[in-house]
Amino acid sequence: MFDLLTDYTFQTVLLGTMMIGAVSGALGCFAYLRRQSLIGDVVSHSSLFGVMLFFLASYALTGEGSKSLVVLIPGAIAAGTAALLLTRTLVRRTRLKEDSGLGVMLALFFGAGIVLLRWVQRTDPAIPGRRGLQDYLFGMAAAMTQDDLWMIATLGGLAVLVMLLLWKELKLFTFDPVFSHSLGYRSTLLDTLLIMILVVGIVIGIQSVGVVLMIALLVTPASAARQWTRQLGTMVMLAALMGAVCGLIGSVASALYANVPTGPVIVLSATLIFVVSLLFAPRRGVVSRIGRRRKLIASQAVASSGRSAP
Amino acid sequence: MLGNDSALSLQGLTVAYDHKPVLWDVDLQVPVGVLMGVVGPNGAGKSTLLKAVLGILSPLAGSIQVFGQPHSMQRKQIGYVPQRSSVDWDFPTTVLDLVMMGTYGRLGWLRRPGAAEREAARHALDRVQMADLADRQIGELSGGQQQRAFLARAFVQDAPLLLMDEPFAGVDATTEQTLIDLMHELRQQGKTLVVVHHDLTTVTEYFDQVALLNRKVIGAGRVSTTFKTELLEKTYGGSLSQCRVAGQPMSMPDAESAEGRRDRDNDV
Amino acid sequence: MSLLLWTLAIALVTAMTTALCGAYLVVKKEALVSEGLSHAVLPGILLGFLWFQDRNSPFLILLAAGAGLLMVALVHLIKRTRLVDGDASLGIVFSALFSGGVILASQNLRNVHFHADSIIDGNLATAVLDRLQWGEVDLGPQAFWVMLLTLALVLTFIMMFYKELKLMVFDETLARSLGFRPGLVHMVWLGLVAITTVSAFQVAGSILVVALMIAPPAAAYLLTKDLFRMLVVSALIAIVSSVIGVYAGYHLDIEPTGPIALAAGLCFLSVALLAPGQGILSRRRTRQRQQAFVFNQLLLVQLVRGAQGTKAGSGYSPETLYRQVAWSRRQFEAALERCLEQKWILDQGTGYQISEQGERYLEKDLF
Repeated sequence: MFDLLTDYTFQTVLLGTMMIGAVSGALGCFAYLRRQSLIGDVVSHSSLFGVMLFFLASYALTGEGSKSLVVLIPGAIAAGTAALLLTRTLVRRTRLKEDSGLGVMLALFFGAGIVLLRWVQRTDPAIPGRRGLQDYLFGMAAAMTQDDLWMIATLGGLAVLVMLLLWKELKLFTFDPVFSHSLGYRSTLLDTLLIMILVVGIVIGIQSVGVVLMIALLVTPASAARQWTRQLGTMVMLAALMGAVCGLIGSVASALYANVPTGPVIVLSATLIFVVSLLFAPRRGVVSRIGRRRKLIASQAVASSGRSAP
Repeated sequence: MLGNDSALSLQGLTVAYDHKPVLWDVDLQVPVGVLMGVVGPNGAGKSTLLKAVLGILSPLAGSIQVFGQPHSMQRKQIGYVPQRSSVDWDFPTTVLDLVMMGTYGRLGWLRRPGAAEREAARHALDRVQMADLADRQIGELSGGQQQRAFLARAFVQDAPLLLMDEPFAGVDATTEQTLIDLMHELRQQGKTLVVVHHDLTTVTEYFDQVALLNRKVIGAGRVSTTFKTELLEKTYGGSLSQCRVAGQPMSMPDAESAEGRRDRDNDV
Repeated sequence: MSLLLWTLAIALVTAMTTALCGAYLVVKKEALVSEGLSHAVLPGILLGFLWFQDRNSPFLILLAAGAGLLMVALVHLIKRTRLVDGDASLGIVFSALFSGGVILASQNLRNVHFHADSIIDGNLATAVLDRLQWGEVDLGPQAFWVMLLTLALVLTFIMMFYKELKLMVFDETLARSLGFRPGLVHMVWLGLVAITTVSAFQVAGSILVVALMIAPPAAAYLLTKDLFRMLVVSALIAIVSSVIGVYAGYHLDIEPTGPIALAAGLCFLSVALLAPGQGILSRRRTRQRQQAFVFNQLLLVQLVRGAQGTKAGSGYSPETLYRQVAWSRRQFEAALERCLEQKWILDQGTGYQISEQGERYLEKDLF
């Protein structure tokens, strides 16, 4: 364990996954409160298409495909945003409902991404740099480099900064968009801003947990944090903390045990925190509610027996 | 009719959702200091009217003047109380926070609310007799309390013109009385209130003026002269007695399918 | 039969089965349940592998379908606490179950040769090699027969309970009042969807299950409003997508599932753009027609209004008219031109006036 702490690679991975967990946990609260939880799933899956496109573009330009996040993340952001904007167009312009629209975009973008990925993996002669691309599916936190770390810190920091600067506006817009618009805060502007920072928060995580499980990092800490508090600020901080803790657990577990993948461990620890929150959170939690009901029944029984007494 | 003594003046207002007209050539004058009810069947465009005045929907044609100026310049003169059901009451925020949101318009982008805003919010909560509930989570409030919190938020906006969307929907009789008392109090202070209303039986009791709306303004003016069976029948399209019996006006048989018919007509 | 033809046959049967299941999900607005199911069955499939050692064992399919139903039940349970939003609970549950599956798969368990890639895009190509033998006779790939059986099951259920399913997706309250039990029908149906997901998952992977459950029915949804036609059209689109996908995959030398998913997505996209009536282009045309109608009428109304206010006969100058309306210059000029062309507005030299035809056109009241 002490060896681990001084291990340079491990430090990188640890710091990276914790930052990712914190950023997506915090931003996920807004997706959760706007009832757009499944956006995370669609954005992360769709981003594979952008990742592959930019990988191929870098190959076309330099003769070697780049797997640096500096190259791939802009592609992921572009594809993720495109999928969401297309969904918005579909829902506005046809009679399709949002869930089907999201599903179709997932089929389209992820399908395209997979076709490109498999083609790149099979094509002959081999495209230099193609090894390890499949890690985007399930994540490979251990492959994180110093450059990746900087990229995650910069983009994640930027997204969180925007969130903090526009805290008042985003809070109002998420809670009551019509009232917010009536005060002069333009809805499309805030909606697009929120989509942008959400997409950023999602794509910086795909390399470590993978496109398939990214949704959990966005939604599970937010759902857990919601149970403990009645203030948005506290909820966001709690979710960020929970996300970071899950990142910590995931990277430690996969460093200690061979063959234990980081992403799923992160997700399962988030799920555990969620279950505990759902059951034992004070006031809201299931156990406390049952307790209250018991007390209520007991006090009613006492009251009625008191009344019937002479 | 110059609109100078009008708090709100609409001329030839036509608003379309998705290019289907919802309000058609609407003229309406609301004098300063009145409490006006806006009634009409479902789909008559009542909420649309409010949203157009608030600048949320942009009209296809016509003008909206607020205290003699175009409404886009008068945003801070308009307070708004949305339908209670339009927000998620499980949102993690306290009553005080909710009320403070009324100050956000004055604050503008990037500025944070401070002690002055908090004070204003506490004061408004006091006025709706909810000072002791300031730190509650909004989901813990009863329907009536939620509506009063919304009203407090509008107090904080401190606007001379107040638009309210169905403030009595789903509140108990006591709350309804409290709310109407507060509205009368506001009018006494010289504020103008435009209230979308559902219950025809209480119109005469609550409002000074009434506007009958069904895509067009069928009639508007003092309740005593405007709130007449003939005009009401024109507004609700016939069987008004049924509306009255039910206590709440029935929705017009098919505002929706009428729209569909129109589409097909246009297609030909 | 050649291997390619067998691949195509498996793809076709799989596509039809999933599309039929998906049609109901899309109409019932729970399309993304398929995304959840296709991930949640993974731990069930892996455990089934451990116990039964046979990828096509009916017990494995039932066990894995059980994992799918477990997800549905857990989501329902969490939703019932009203502490968490429905979509969020779906995301939480399926990602947790899937994580469990991935960890299980990563542990190199005895006899489980489950490659991570096949979770996403299945192994249609190798499934063809896994033959069903009857004595000495080769009956074709096992996967084909499994899928055909599933298709038969789904079709039989749809035919037997067509009415109940229709009520379930369109009007649960009515169904209940008529004495049906929509909750029970829904659960049994989801069980069937889970079984389909599992058997399709084996050959098609999670991506194809989702793509085929959502894209063809969503396209059909824009083409027809009739449930029966929607089922037929969904199946047809699924067939077209699999044919395109299988051949594209063959030529690119990759698993055909990715190309099938992409083809289904592209089919949907072209339908969404081009469908008569509901397509984006067609709706835009309708909207433009409606818009023109509204603008014409509004312009004429301004003229009528002006005639009441000003001296009769003097007419309106274009500038005065323009100031009356809150449109862009372009919109205004287009409307004016249309009205002049139709002779609804007459240019009197001194100004514009409404003509008799114009007044008649105005009579065409929209309300």
